[in-house]
Formats: sequence, structure tokens, C-alpha cells
Amino acid sequence: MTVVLEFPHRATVGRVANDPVPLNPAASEAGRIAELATDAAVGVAFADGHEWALEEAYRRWGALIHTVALRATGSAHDADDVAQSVFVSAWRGRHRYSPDRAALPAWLLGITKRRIADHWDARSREQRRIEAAGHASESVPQSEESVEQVADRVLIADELSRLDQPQRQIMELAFFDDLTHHQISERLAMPLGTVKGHIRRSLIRLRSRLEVDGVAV
Amino acid sequence: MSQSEMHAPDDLLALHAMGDPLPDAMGRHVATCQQCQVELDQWTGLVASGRRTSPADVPGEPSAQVWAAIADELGISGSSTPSAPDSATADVVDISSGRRRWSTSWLVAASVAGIVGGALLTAGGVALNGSEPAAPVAAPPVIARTSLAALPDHQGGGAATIVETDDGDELVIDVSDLSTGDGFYEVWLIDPKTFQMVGLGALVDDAGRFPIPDGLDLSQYSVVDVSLEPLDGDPVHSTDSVVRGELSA
Repeated sequence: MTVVLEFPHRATVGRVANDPVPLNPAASEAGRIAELATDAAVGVAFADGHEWALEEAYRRWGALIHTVALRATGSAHDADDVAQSVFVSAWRGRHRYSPDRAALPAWLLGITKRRIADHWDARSREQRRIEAAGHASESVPQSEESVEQVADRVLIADELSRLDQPQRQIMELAFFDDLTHHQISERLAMPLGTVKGHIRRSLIRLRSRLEVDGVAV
Repeated sequence: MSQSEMHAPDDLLALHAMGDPLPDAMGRHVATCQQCQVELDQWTGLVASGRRTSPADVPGEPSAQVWAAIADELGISGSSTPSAPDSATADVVDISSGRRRWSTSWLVAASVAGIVGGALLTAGGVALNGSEPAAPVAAPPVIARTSLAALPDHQGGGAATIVETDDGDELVIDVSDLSTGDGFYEVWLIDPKTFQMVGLGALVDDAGRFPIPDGLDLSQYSVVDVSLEPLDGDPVHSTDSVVRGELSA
């Protein structure tokens, strides 16, 4: 009986016979396994408390979480604090994570949303305290966007950066430069139908990314 | 059903959200169809988010101190600093990441992550036909053993041992009172960290012996699992595990 092949040529299934069997795989091998694990497998291992899954989760989604925090708070220092707090509380609360219900990055983004809200609450309290003391203060810049919207933008930007050319350039012209399909077609000397085909496929890809990895409630 | 009563295809709605006009009849339908409006709203929301996106939104690596602070606060021992994915590893992650709708069971993810080599296929096939009685061996040395306990919503129990024989290692398994159902029982070895798994063969009675494929690392594939498999010809784990246990020396 067999199982599904996913990495038939890249993964290490086992060792050759008579090789000593270590109880703990070498770190490099563990790292390799972590790297090859699907996002889903990282999520399951995270819920089960395997430390490699925390490191792998940070490696895969640390930049995402940090960037959402950075774009929401506008401060690199605050973003560092939020990102640290998200991964620490996610790990301590991993028993509450159910891989069946949400992708791990979506769950992490849900925690990020709450940590950013905590951050704004703290800033507001601080401002009220300063005002109560009779000091003039600079107003705290409140985010006009919800954290979900910030997360969507960062996820979209991330997915755009993974697109191959010419899709990437086409979507950047459409989103960043607000060009119409006709303008893109002229700019790139590419038939209109081809431009639309690329846009259609890219949008479908972006939407599925947001559906899987977007903020979980 | 006339053309105007058909729902608008997804790709037309996506392009419409980007500013393309819909064909007249389709436009009239979408204007009055709740289902199409819901779909269109989703595309419109995506496009609006996309247009608000700027190059500064591309995720950038946090400084190394962030991970160091996390590891320190959690007291993670001997942790290596996860490196920022360079372009090469980013490709690997991209390929391996599951951009699919979420599965309802961890074992679905597990089977997707599963791998098996050609040699294992052969060994599994042999095990399936394994009706020939094992050669009588006087008290073969036991390398590892585990009890098998029922999973939620199932009953039964048993024990499994790994024994060393002249022909290589074998899994010897005894079970009793397993939950019944349509189909057959199959024995698996699972790596609990990666959920890769190897099917050893069908368990037809309350006991069986299965050769362990040469080279399979039992320190990794340490979980013995018995599943109930429907007779559907699908070789992937059904996700319906009945009993399970983790081998230890």
C-alpha cells in the first residue's frame, strides 16, 4: 500500500540498512524535514508542541506578522514587540489552535490583530494620562484601516512578489499604478486578451491566498 | 434557461471588478442576482485591497533580535536561529506550501505530506500478499514495542513490537475488539513530526507480521497506526484511525 507522493526526489525517507539509527535526528536533517513540510504539517506539529514547528512557523510567517504590525503601528520598535508577543502567546496557547479550523498563518494573524488592538489601547490610555496632567500632546495616529485590511494588503503584496513575470509586472501596473487593461496592453506591447488572461489568473490566485491565510476570527 | 438567467462566471466578475464592462445581458442579470452580487463584492473587495497595496507592504524580515527575544522568553533550548528565506529556500517553501482549502482532518494533511520510495512500494506489496507463515524463530530479539490504544469514537486495543529476524526487521501486531466497519484494517508507520507515513499492509486477522522496508528509520516512523480503509481502491490513508501507539525501545 502506498501514500501520496509529494517530494519523491527531495525527501529523505530513511537510512540505509545497518546505518546506526539515532534517537534524535541530526539537526540538519530536522531542519530539512521542517523545510519540506507542508504548511498544514507545520500547523499540526505546532499544535502538538514540536519546537521545530515554532521555528519553522517563524521562518515562514515571521516577516508577514512583523510587516502587518509595522504597517499598522508605523513603528519598527512597536512591530518588534507585537511580533514577539504574537509568537510567544501563540506557542503558550498552542493547545487552543485547531489545525482543522484555520491555517496557522491565519490563526497567527488573528492573534496579531488582538495584540495591535492592545497596543492602541495602551497608547490611548497613555495619551489620556498625559492630557489629564494638563500637558499638550501629539495625537496618537489612529489607524484608519482595520488590521484585516492591513493584513490583506500585506498578503497581497507578498503573493504579488511571488508571481512570475509577466504576471507580476502586469499586476503591479494594475494595482500600484492604477493602469487600465488597455494601458497595460499598450505599455507592454502585449495583446489585450493576453493581459486580461494574466490578470484573471493572478486575481484567482490572490483570492485563494486570502481565503486560506487571511485573518482567522 | 436564457442567457440572462445564468450566473456570471467567476473570471468575468473578477475582470468586471477591475473595471471591465460585463456583456449587456450578463450585466442585467448580475444587477438583480443576489448570489452574483455577493461574488462580485468579494472580487471588488480584493481589487480595492490590491489598489491600496504598495511596494512597502511586501513582507520584510524582522531583525534577528526578534527571534532571539522569542526564543529567550520561551526558554527554547539549543534553538537555531531560523534564517530569513533566501530566494532558493523561498522557492522550496512556495512549492511545499499548501495553497489549498483546509482539510477537515489532520490525517488528510498527513497523507498529502506522505512520501514513499519505489522500494517501499514493493515491500508493501509483498506484505499485502503475506499469507505465508513466518519462519519459526525462537524468541526473536525485540527492538521496540508499544501498546495500541483506541482513538476517540473507536474501540479496541492491542500491542505492536518490532523484532529482528534474519530477513530484516518485522512489525508484529496483535489487536482485539477493534471497531468494525465496511472495508479492511491497514497497518501504517507514521512520522509524528512530519506526518509522512508508510503503509505496511492489510491486517486480516487479529494478528499479523509485516516486514519493515529496509532503510526505514524507525526513530522517525515511530507511530504504529491501524486504520479502517474502505474498499475504494484509494491507497491513501482513509483518515479513520482505530488504534495507535508510539514505539519505544
